[in-house]
Amino acid sequence: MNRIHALDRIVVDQIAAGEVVERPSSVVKELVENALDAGATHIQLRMEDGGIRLLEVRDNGSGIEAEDLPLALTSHATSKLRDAADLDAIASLGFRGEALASIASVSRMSIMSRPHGAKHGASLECAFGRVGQVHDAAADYGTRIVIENLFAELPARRKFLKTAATEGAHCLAWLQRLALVHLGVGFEVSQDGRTTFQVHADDDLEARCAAVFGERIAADMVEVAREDPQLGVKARIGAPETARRDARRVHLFLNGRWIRDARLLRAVREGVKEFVPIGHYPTLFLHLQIPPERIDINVHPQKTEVRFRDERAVFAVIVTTLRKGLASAPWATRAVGPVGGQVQERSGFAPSWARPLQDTAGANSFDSSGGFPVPGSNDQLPLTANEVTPEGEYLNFLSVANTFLFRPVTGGVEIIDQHALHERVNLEELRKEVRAGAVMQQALLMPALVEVSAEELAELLEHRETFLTLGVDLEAFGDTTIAIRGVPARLTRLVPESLLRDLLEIARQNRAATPDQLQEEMLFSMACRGAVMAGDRLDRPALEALLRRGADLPQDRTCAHGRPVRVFLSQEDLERAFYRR
Amino acid sequence: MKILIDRLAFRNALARVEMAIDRKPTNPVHGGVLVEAANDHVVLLTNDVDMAVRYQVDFVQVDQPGWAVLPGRELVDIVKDLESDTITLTLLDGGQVEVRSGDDLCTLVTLESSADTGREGTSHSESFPLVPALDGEPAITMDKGDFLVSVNSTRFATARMQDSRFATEGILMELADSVVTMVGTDGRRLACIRRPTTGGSGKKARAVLLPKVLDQIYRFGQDEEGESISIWFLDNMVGFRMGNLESFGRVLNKEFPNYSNVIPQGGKHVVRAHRESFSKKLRLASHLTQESAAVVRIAFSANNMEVASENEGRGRASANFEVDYVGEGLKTAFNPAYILEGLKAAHSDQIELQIDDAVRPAKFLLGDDYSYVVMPLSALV
Repeated sequence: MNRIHALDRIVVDQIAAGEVVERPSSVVKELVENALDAGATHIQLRMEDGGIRLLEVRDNGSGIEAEDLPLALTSHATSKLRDAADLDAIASLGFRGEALASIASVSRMSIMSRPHGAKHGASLECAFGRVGQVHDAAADYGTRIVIENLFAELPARRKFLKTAATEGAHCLAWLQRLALVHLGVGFEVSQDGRTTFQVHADDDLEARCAAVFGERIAADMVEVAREDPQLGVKARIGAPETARRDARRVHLFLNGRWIRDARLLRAVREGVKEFVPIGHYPTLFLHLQIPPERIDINVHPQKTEVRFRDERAVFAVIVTTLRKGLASAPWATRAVGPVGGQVQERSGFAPSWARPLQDTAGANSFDSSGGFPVPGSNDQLPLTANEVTPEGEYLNFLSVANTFLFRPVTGGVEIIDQHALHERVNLEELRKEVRAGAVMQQALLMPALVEVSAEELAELLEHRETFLTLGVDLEAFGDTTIAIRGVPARLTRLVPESLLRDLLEIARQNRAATPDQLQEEMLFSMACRGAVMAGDRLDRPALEALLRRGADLPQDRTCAHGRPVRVFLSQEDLERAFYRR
Repeated sequence: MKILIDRLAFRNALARVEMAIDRKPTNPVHGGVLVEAANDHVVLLTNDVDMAVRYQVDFVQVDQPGWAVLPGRELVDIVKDLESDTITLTLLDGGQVEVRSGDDLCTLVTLESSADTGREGTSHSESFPLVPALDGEPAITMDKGDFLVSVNSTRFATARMQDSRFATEGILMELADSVVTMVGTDGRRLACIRRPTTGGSGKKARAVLLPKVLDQIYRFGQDEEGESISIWFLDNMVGFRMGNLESFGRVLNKEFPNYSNVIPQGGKHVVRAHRESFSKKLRLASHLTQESAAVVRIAFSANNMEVASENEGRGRASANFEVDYVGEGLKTAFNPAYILEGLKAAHSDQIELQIDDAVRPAKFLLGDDYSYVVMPLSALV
């Protein structure tokens, strides 16, 4: 019979390592965070074979005293935390005291360190948990940790590692995350002898974004900051056209710590709604500063998940920050003014749209199934307050394929998608009317009758009031027929029946939504349904009228679904296409 | 086939059949024009399923009878640009047609052809969709002018988008008791006109037609000889004949709204206004409406009508003019475009507005037996 016995210390550490050390990039994260906690201003990372064979982190931080070296490799030994009270206000990146011990238990590690003021350094080696003796060593100030043969004695773990290139990319990604947020610290990465990433200690956020996202993307990023001791934000947001389907370019930080949280990503999606296509994520650096006592990062050993005391406020701030940033981002239509206007340089965004955060605190509570409060979703999307431009200039356009309008603008040519523009025009105009409570309704001569199931009928009638605010007048007509008596006056192209089908669909998909959210969804749908389609032939006066209507919209860059309304090709773009550059 | 034809006559004939050339034919032959030569005339036929046009050109020198289906687009385009007074069409061996005019020569590859003698009204073509001959007594004969006016008076009110239930994209044509009623509606307004027949079998008949064929008749009917139009109700088609022009329109197999229920009988308030002044005031006010959701507010009181509008951020307008009205007055709102379109189609200088209240349909009498119903707009507050 198997008897119960206490586990060997090395086995305990190896098990713990399963949570903390998954792959070389976890080692990079832990070691670099240690270096940062030690106050380093320059950190070098050297990798061979994607960090599987060798991984070296060298810093110029405070260093470890010779006599403390063995303790550093003991689990739950840390310099960052003293008693339980400190847990409530964690300010350092690490605190659990697990990392070094865990890494030491699954690799061959050597630590060399020399605290400032010490005459010489000390070194300690450890092979898969077997700790050696401390020796004096010649060393620079700071700490240098070399990890070799990660998981070499744990074939089961080693098997799960990917190719050296993949692991190396993950390591680099982690370092870049840390480099983005730790201003004042220089980082240098060399992979198999090549320097692949470098930022200097005095590089600012812009330079760091350039190093991480690339010069072109970084140049178009817009900075938004919110000063608040309780909830500060600093963000740099990329132009909408750099959005991608995966969230790899989303970098969220909390008090200097990179975090990845499904709920926060949802806030990001909400914030970019209407700006980028549905399901896309923007290029984003967003750093939240929240007093440590208002958050809990001790959720998972990797500390990428967080709990907030004041979750709704945090979401709200993320959403507003993104909207603000995107609204003033230089878009594909870089220096172009309003649709139909003359070209003008954009100035800063108009901040008057933003409602104070307190307003949203009283909104519905956040739960994982329903929505969450969205600040400003009932407000106009912010965009530059463009000066009124003389008309006339914009009427010079060419319609292509009954879909695209080409028009010359200063510095290039702008292409407008007629459906997307009409959809946006409808949305903004409808929204304005709905907000003012001044929707004009066009009564129908004969009610449009639509067959529905009894269940659908009940569902529709439940939202009757909400529909009515949008100008849609519904009424039961028998048990399985609904009569549409009126439609919004402005949507003259709308077929009542397809509108009803859409409304039903929306009501179903948003069961938990508040009337306001439902209304917003319906506005989107009605705007789209009421718009001319790509390929619809419009005569010139109709196109001119459309452009004129588009001339003073609060947001004219994307349709309600986030697809672009207009694309600008600069002279430079054209010259490139013709190999003139 | 070999014919000598006057260029202008041929060009005019092609203009009449051009509208029914199938632009996206599933079978290439359907994108052609059937040219049939016999005796001393040529018959052109096009058919794009929604409508068909057959046109006969007289006084043609037919050296050799026969028929050919020529590529429609190309034929229309080259004939436009030929310059000499006459054109010779010659079917060559190998299925090509030589189009010669003065010093110019074009050769078109036929889609189908035969040197067989074509007899009038019949063709030997195997794949070109033919249309029935319009013979026998027509269901309706009526004054051509009346018919064209009826088309013009209802066409503008048809829906631009298709509705799955009602055939509102079409125009209803109904025959009963020697009266032809035509109705167009888009669910928001409705135009209805009645005109007498002058002959025909007079049997009750009813069809909803795609406006396309009526547009074609409206455009070319005036130029055809004769003062009357004859109409046949065929299987899923209606055929029209005016002089040498025969047009066929597909019938929509959808329900048409019950229009008679919609047209109010009389009204509590009756306003008589001068059409021109009403139009002018409406146009004035509509300059200051929101471009998309145009709303004009109409208020009438004793012998006065006010037409007012507002465009937030741009300005407002208010226009008054004299009308013939006695009563306590009423305020309502309309889409000005709807009323303007009706006024434009009106037949008389004086129009009459009959209305009960601000939410029920308003009826405009725009001429003899011509009424136009418009639903008002209401603000949701």
